[in-house]
Amino acid sequence: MNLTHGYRLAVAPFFHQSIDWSSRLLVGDGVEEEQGRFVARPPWRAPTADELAALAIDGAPAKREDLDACLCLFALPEHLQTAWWDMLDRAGPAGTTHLEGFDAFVQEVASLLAFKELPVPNGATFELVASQPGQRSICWTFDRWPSAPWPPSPEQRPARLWGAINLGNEALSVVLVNLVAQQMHDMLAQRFPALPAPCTYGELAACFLTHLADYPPIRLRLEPGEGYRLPAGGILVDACTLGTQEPAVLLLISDRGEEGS
Amino acid sequence: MTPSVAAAAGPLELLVLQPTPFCNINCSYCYLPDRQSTKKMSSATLRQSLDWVFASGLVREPFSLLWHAGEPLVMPVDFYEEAVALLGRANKSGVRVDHSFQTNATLIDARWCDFFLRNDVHVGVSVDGPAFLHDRCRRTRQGAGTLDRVLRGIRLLSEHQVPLFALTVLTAEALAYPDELFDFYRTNGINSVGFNVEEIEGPNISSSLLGAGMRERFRRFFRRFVDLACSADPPMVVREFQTSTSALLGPRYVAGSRTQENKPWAIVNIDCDGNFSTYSPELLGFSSPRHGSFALGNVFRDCLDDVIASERFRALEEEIARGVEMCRQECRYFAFCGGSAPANKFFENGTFASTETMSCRLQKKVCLDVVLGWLEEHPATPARESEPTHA
Repeated sequence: MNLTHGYRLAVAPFFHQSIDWSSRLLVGDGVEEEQGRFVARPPWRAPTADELAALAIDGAPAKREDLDACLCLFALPEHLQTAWWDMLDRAGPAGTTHLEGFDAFVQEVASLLAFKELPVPNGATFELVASQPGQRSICWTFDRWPSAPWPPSPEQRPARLWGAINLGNEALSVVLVNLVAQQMHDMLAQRFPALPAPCTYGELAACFLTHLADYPPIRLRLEPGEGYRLPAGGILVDACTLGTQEPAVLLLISDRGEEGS
Repeated sequence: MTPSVAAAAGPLELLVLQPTPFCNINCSYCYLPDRQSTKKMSSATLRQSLDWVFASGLVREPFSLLWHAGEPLVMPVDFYEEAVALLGRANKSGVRVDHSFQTNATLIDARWCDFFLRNDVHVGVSVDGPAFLHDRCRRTRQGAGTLDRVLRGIRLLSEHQVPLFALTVLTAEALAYPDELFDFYRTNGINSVGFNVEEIEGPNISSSLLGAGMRERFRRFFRRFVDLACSADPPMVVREFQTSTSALLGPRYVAGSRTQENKPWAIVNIDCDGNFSTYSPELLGFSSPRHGSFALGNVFRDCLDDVIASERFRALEEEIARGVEMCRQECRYFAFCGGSAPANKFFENGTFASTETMSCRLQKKVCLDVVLGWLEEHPATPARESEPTHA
């Protein structure tokens, strides 16, 4: 299958990052099931020029009005990355569940993002996730809870993953399907009109990954200190730690939705 | 020259010597109209300038000698070695003189570092931050960026343990990057910084900071930078934070009191031909239909008493004094500011008898507001005991 135009990748406004997208992106061959879960299927290849044009916005950062339709890349400034590592140096022995200074650190992150006009949602939660090196997949999932109803109610703001930051000291990969939930739904409906309509995001994800398993996922290399904000509309996202030597650390930033705020 | 009328003027606080108008780079916001001219101050002019200053009656207390405009390091080190020797001879009463250079740092080498150290020179380096900000405006005449050369100069200063102060011109673009600027300074060992706004002066007839919403953007930038600087270990010294704190906690300006820039003869500016002016250094080299050249005389020809008695100076002083009084009457920040810089008033408003400028709005008012807010949130700062006034 060929990539279809979906949301695009861009550098967030007011973050000065010179991104060579061609060296950051890979295109996979589809997805497959492994031990009861979906994983991106190799081989990974460089995107063609047409694919690159469809996937990423080159040059200037996205305009404000385009933001919600983009996955926005950003980077923590050096002083915040230093603060993170200093905090780890001061932390207690491995296994302790409370990380002294974590609340102050995430407040600084939120303050930076607010200054850069990329504010995290009110009442956002920050969660550290560590993953073993060398994994093809952490977990394919929608940015919303699998049980969240599909189609979404326009009156509700469901809990969702807002974005994440690579706080490890090695690059890791974010694996994505470049379509928002509605596009996936439409593609399924067009190709498989007899399929029962999914009732939740989890069902939509399973349906898409099963029936359109050849749709090529994309893999974005995320350098240490870099983060991303997901576009609106619900997207399928995974992470991959292939090629890393040490555990990967992602700071997940989530919107608790209407109920949680 | 017998100090008489001049004895009531000044005293001299800042002597700005402009040994050449030439600058080896070509910044897009530069106010110097003759920066391509390679004229240089001769030994004779240097000697006469120093003799004139010390004979003027203005030197009555310690002052700063700033070498500035164009790039002072275009002149050889030997010129400044001679200047130090001539200054020592002219300064018969042994008044303390602090030497300062404002440089783009591109020409610094080991010999310059040795000179700076031996003479306890305060070195101000003009640098606008990371390449995406600095190289946008601070370019060579061929259009190439200059940051690499600036950083080489900064590294040399650091290796020779010459303290430096970084002066950054803020454009509208830069206001989005306080964290990046903070990281840039820290990475390059800079712990003392000041911010100038991109001003409308001379040939720079516009500014990116004139756009809508700039006051709020500047406020957000400055507040964030102050927070970063104050929480650093050690804290970064920010000139605008210090001057605003001093203004808030120190003496008040009242009727009749003046700032260095609007007080006659507190600043003396002398160019490479020996032409001199007072008030804002940026005025030297410019003229107005009403006042003619702002160069009020020449060190070879004119004694200060005659200049002070001249109709041209009186008209200039009258207009500037009127502008200060307008500031006092109209601006609630006057007690902390003492009136806007005459050069900003002239270039932005067309007359010295005017009030608010962009520099007032951003560098004075916003900075004062931000620092006041910061001080209120950090009450451990020593409280003001009284409200003394400027003499």
